[in-house]
Amino acid sequence: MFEAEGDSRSHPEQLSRRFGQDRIGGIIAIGLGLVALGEAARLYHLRTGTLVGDHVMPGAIGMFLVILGAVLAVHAEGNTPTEKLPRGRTLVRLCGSFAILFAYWFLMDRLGYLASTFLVIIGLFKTMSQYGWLRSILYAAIVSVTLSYLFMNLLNIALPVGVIGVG
Amino acid sequence: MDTIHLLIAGFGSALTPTNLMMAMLGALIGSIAGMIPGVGPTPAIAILMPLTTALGPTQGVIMLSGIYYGAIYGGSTTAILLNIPAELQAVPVCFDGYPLAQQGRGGPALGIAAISSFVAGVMGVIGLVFFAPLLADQALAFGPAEYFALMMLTLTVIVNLSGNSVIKGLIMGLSGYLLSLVGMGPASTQARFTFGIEPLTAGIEMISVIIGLFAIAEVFHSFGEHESKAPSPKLGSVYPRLTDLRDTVPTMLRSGLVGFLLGLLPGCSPAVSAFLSYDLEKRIAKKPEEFGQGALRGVAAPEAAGNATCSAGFIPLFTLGIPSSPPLAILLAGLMIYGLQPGPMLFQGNGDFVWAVVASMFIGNVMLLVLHLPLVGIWVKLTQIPLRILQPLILLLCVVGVYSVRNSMFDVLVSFVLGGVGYFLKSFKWPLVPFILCFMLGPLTERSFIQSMAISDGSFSIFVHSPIALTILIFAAGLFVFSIAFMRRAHTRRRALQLATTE
Repeated sequence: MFEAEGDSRSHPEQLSRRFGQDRIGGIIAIGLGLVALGEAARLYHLRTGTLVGDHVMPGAIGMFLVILGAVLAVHAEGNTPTEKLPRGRTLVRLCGSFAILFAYWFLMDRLGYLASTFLVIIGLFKTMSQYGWLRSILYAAIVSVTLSYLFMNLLNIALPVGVIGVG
Repeated sequence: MDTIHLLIAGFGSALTPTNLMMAMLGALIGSIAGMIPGVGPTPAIAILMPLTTALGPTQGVIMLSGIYYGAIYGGSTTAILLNIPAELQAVPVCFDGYPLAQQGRGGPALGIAAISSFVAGVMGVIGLVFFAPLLADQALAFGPAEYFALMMLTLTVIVNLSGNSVIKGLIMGLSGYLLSLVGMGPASTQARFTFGIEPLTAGIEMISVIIGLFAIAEVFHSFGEHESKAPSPKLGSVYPRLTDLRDTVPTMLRSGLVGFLLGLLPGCSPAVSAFLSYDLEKRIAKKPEEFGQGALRGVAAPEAAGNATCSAGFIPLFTLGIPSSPPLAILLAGLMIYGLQPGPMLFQGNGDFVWAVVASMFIGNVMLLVLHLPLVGIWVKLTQIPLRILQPLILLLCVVGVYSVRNSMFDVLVSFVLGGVGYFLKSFKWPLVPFILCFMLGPLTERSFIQSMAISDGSFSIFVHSPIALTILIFAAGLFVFSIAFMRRAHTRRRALQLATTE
């Protein structure tokens, strides 16, 4: 389905609507199937029998994925009903929250659980909860200290201490 | 008689202070999770499962089961008061529950929902006590061929969990299988699908997949939605009148029985039984026109049927390792994380554990009734918490949950990536449960197939020569066809019901 000019929909949504969401899904399935078939071919020489070895499941799954993907891509009729992807400020907040999560992954080993959680929760309270700076910092301090104590002291979960040396 | 003795021993274990506390905690957390719009049972179990690994298997599974049925109980509160169904099975509860709340009779509706849940939950657990051991006894002679056939039977569940498109469900299931193959191959011990990334040789951790697809994706999917919504101001007494009870008790028993029997079918979800029971009650009602306008029987029927199916769902889960609903699929993962293999040998190898969990379900149902009737005012306030306040906290719990299993930041990264993938899959209506189900069953399916082929020198005749495997495969094929027909019928009825109600 083609969109009218000046459509304000976000780019991935426009793209998926133009080509048909199911069709794109079918093509991705074919791609995954081909990767699986490639891996099956690579492992084939390690077999102990035609149907005994690590190549069997990747081969079977790859074949079915290619077939089903092709069926979906060919027979996709228009677009299945989907929920609208976020736009504008909501999209920025969503992407920002995702970026903060990846920053958390990067920081936790380096700064330790307490410090990284404190920084990250400030960001999440700002983007997701939409609190002001003061409230975000105050709540972040309470939450990070409480969770650190709960997990590390009460539940004895080993969490990274980082270069600061404080969990 | 053996069963009764085992159940009594199970009560002995379930009534220890620690296990009682776990059942209580699970029921409480589940109720809270079920009542917060946008959380619900599946993400609640997914988020809290890693944290329960600090407990023993019995305590952990008692708590997870409590979270499950607690969330099912709690889900009806938001359905009745806010017209927000936390799960698909709560949709028919909205049809009459919300009109009742608008008429100022939210209290009796909540009361009837709680009593229906209790009656049906207990019916389901009684059925579990007597049916599960019978099924488990028959499944003692299982070898690789029989296990592989059983895995094929499990695949039929995908049809019921596929939503609108079976092809999409199958593609998702196959993709889940594919992800489960990442790591060392069982036959050659050579790395597969690792593409030179060293941490992948240890395989993808199940918790990362569950948390990513069901918790992180859910948080982002509900971004900007589900802000608090004011419930109807007047609730009325939560204790129903005697006449209300007299009217609804036959409905509870009838729907409980329907729900239980449907729950015995591998793959029949509580949502299907809830819709069918609502439909059945409407058909046999003397005044069907009252349905959709605020009939208490319209609340009791789906609530009882859904809960009975939930309890009955533990029978195929424990005896065959087949989950019938998304939360049970996560619970299956929980059992596997504890090193328990649900299936034919569970009752024989871990009888103490199974009976303690079953006994705890009786206790948990009583606790839920006590929690829900007198404390309804607190529960109503809980539905007012805006999700945007909880979302950051849920994400923090997810991170710790994933990290704590293997102390691996790589697992955390995998969960984030899958969270992003899950967000798009949910948005584009690709079903996630077939993915996780096949991811979980992938290793066992591959192992049993390779062993079967090794035994038979690569001949498929092994599946024909084993009467059990052949019977299961024929049953699986029949169930596959039946499920597709049943799904289409249920879809048609659901649409008709929704249309009739909106009109």
